[in-house]
Amino acid sequence: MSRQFRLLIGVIGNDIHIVANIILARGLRQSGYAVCNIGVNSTPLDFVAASAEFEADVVIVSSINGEAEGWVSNLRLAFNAAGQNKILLYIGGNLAVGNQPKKLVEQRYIEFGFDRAYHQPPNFDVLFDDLATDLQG
Amino acid sequence: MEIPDFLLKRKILRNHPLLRDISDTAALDFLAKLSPECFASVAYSRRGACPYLQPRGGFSLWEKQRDLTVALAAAGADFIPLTIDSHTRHNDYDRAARLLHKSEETGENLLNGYPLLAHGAISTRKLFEGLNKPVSLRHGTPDARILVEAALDAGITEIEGGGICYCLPYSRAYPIDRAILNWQYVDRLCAEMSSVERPIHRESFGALTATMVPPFMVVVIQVLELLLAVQQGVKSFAVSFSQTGSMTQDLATALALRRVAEKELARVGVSDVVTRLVFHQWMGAFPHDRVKAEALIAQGAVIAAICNADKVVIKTRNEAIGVPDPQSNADAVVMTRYAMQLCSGHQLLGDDVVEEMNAIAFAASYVIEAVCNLDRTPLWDCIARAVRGGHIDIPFAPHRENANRLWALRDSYRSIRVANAGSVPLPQSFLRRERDKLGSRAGDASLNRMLNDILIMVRDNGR
Repeated sequence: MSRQFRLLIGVIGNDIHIVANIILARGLRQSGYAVCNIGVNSTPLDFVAASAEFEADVVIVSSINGEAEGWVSNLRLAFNAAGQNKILLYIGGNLAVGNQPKKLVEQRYIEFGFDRAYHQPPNFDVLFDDLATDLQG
Repeated sequence: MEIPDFLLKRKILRNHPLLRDISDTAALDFLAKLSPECFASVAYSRRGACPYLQPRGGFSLWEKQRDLTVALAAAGADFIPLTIDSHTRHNDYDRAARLLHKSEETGENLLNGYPLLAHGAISTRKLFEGLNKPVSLRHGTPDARILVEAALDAGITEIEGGGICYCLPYSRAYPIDRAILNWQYVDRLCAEMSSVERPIHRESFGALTATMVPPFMVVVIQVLELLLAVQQGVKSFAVSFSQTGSMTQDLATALALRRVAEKELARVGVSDVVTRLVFHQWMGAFPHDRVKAEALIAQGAVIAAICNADKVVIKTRNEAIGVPDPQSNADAVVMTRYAMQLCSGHQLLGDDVVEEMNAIAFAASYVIEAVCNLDRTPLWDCIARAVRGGHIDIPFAPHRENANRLWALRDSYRSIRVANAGSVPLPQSFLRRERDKLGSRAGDASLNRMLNDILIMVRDNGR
């Protein structure tokens, strides 16, 4: 078997919601991934720098407090500027304030350059399935 | 005493721009004039059969806070809360002041609590004029020295917090050793502002992260903070815990807290400290459905009454939706008091509660002994080392020095059981019992299982 896939996870912005973050880290490790968890209150720069150091294959950004948009609209550009053009970028959690259609919200983040976006997912299953698919090739 | 130069430290601290316009003796002078009913410690000594009630609440604007305070008092609250905004909690007094001024201009509420230092002690006193009830400072501050100086200047007689309980669950990076030392200052300050008849009351926050924290760990942290406070001369102290979802475990935790506190005070040869017990209604994710939220609040009231808590800190039916309005707070006071009165005089301590209490007290005492066992090392340093070594470990704390290796699951009766002790030094017999109680659930490491355990009141209606 080649090297374990490396996943960088964290919660972006002034967001201290830690419960799902810790559960996700445990679940990903149990599924055989190498996980670097930079935790809550992380800035876009924290993600870019930690990803370079960890040599991440996928960066999974979480946001629970609804403020993600202001933090991540240029995140893909920041990764490109740091020479990490091939990185897979996922985002999930509560990605908008108020009641907005799930499809529209997720589409907005895909347009920002994310490979996968999950607005208020009912559980983590869809993330695990997508990871398995995207990391197959 | 571990702060030999306390008076010098205080003198330097009082030079802070936000404190230096007020005399160093302002607190002592004002407290001396305050009526005895305003002292939490005095109020506790006069409690009848029913636990006291304390709502929650903090607004940025003075007028709104005054309205809330008057409304809570009118609704029958026994203790008045003053909840502090998060910028003040993180010592960012300038930002709190800027956002307060912006709030005053626009009438909006731009802070999630009352910015005590931005308002100042003198105008804060006026919030409580004419009420004649004790006021409780609620915050979440790893370095609360300046805040508590101002709170005492304002005549607040109950100070919540502690070096562990206001650091690990509330901060990502504030060093644990400094947090404990800052709280030694606070404890000492409260002791210095106390008189024999009217001590300033300290309270620890045992709810912690309110997420899958095994009760023995709550007891460990509560009793260690009691011991730290006693070292600095505090005479009136409350340990606390929050509703877990398991009635047996809640009743057992109350008994274990009282028993271990008493035992540890006796061990260090202290007999002149009064220990109180505070119960927090469910602090986890609340049901959105208001009827279910009210049922959960009523269950909390019943538990508080049966374990004869000295005080219950209440929730409202709007908890899942947002900041509670005064009416929902008033309703929660009435509902909780009514449910508690219906229970008064009943103990309902069956064999299962006693057995659970023995297990919790045994595990907690075992860990406390292990933590305190470093020769010639002061208690604060033992505790800081224990945190860094993972001997004290709070599940789901965001703090980087917290090990996050202790892991718990719920058994089929909803009790929180240790599934993985991490580095916490627990006796084998205790761990065996926890595993037995989990039964076939011990092996279920699925993510959905963890989420169901945490979201128990939301997803499965308490199962």
